[in-house]
Amino acid sequence: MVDKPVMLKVGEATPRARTMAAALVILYALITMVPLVWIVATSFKSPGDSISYPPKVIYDPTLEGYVNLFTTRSRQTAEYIDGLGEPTSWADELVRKRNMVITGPSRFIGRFTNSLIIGFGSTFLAVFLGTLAAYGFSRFKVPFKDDLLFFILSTRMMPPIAVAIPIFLMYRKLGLSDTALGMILLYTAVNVSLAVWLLKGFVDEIPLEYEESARVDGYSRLQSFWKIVLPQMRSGIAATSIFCLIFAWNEYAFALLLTSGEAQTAPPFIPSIIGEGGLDWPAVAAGTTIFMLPIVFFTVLLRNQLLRGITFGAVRK
Amino acid sequence: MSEVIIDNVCMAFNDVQAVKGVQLTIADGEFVVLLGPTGAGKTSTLRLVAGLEMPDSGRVLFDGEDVTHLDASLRDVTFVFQQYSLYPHYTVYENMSFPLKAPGRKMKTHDIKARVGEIAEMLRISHKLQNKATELSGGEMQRVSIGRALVRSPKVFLMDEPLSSLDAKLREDLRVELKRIQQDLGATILYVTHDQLEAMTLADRIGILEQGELVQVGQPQDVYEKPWNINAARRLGSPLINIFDSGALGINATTEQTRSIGLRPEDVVINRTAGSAATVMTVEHLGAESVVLLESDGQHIHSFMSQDMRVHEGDQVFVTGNLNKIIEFDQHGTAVANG
Repeated sequence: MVDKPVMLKVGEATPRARTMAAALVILYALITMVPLVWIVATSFKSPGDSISYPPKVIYDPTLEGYVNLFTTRSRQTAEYIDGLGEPTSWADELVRKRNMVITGPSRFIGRFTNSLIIGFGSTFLAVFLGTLAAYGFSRFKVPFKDDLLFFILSTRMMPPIAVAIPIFLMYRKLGLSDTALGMILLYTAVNVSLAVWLLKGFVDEIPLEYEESARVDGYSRLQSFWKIVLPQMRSGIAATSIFCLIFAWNEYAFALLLTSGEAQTAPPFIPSIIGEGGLDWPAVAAGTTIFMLPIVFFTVLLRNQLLRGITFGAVRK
Repeated sequence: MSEVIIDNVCMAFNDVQAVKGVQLTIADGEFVVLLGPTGAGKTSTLRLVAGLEMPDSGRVLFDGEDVTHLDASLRDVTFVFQQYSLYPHYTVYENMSFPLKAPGRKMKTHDIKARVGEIAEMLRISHKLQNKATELSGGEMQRVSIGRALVRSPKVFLMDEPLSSLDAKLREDLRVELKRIQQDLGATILYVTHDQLEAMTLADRIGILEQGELVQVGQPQDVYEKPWNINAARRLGSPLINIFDSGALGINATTEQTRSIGLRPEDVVINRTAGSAATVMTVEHLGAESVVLLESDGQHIHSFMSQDMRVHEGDQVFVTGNLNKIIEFDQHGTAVANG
């Protein structure tokens, strides 16, 4: 049998080109994933394995890193530990092998909760404000519209950290230092410009006829926004939310500067583990692994919307 | 259903005067078609009545009540858009019941179901009610769109080229259906199109719009036979009305002001014996009739071929005009005397 010649449309890739492109993408994905895989692998290593040279790829997995992450411990003499009786849990047993006893929970859960509250809080606020602003800019005659949009964009033109000192002083005066509210407001301020610009593009894509039709059908502007426009914006909102969440979630500099106690987020906390009890790399890796999970979870959850959102503008029906 | 009065309405978009002093009364139960080229202000006029645009001056009245500044949601009108108007995240049923579920209407679910079912039956889309709006063919979409308008009994139906995106067969079907429904319901309809056939067949009265101005309003046959100016004359009839200088075809002006003469193709008679000499340029066979393009004295003239007089390209023939049917226009293009 003779292979049929493959019919191609103009601009369409040949099968070989597709295979090569796919191979390239897979290779790239593998390379990007190496550090992530290494972090996850390290989180299951013992402290000794984690710093061995050459690095160990095959090792005995242990949950020591996770136990160390979630607990505070103190070193005791073997006699003291023997005098304690039976270990109360598997974690207890694991720790006692290193001549330690668990003295209480670490602050990780609190820091992680702060990250969740601040990350999701600021994302919600930025996307909420961004959606309304984007709708307004897209649909109403706003005086100086272009100038205002440029002004909103211009807030992104300088690295946020450049205003760290003024914000630090301002927050101290206002009593916003080391508060979740302060961090939510800060991250919202940084994210809202991105949200407005991204979402405006999505609103612009929704034909005006839908809303007009809804209004003629007897719905007020707000009702037609809620019933007709918002459902159409779903993928845009999903994509924007992920972008905002990733920024707020990963932000390190401001978190280090403005939070130290109550409102501290996970990014400044995780490296501080190193200072507390020597070079405990498995605990750091465990913290990082857990820290990655929410973003991974939400990205997977919204992957379809995200794909549509990110390729937005590039592909048109 | 209501009487709608558009009273001296003007509207501008930035520097462009889209609607210039349009004055039109649509009687209760009347089907009025606005006809005009792109950019003539047809859609703008429709949107003004719907409340989707606000006029710069003038008023809109429903049954004598001034609704000029009333929001679209409170006017109790329906609007069928040319396209894009089905809510893509809803099913056909949800789309059609949407206006009935509006906060102001408070209709019972049971009644909504019955009403939507009834209209869906009428438009032959009952079997599609549970489909997503995006899973329909163009014709079905437009029927749903019309159905969404018909579920209500609004003061006036506004339709913006509702059939223009459909194929010829479907357009014809829906046109007939629309006329029947309008007569059954006694509906007041303001309908916009650039398709003269739709205008002629659907309208009780036609309004010809040119550059934002309402040039002529009248019954289709009147507008066809007695256009008020050249543009109105050109708006109806296919092929276009013949416009030529006085003296051509042996037809002379009857008034001082006449600058040009209009004659419909069906009023140009081809024969082999008498009249002005002409050459057959092309013959287009359209089935029931054949359109002949002639040249006489350097003027191009359209006519129809008669049954007993077959002509071919290149034939030398004679033409005469039906003098009773000539329309004379002055230097501004305004009709001066109708034969």
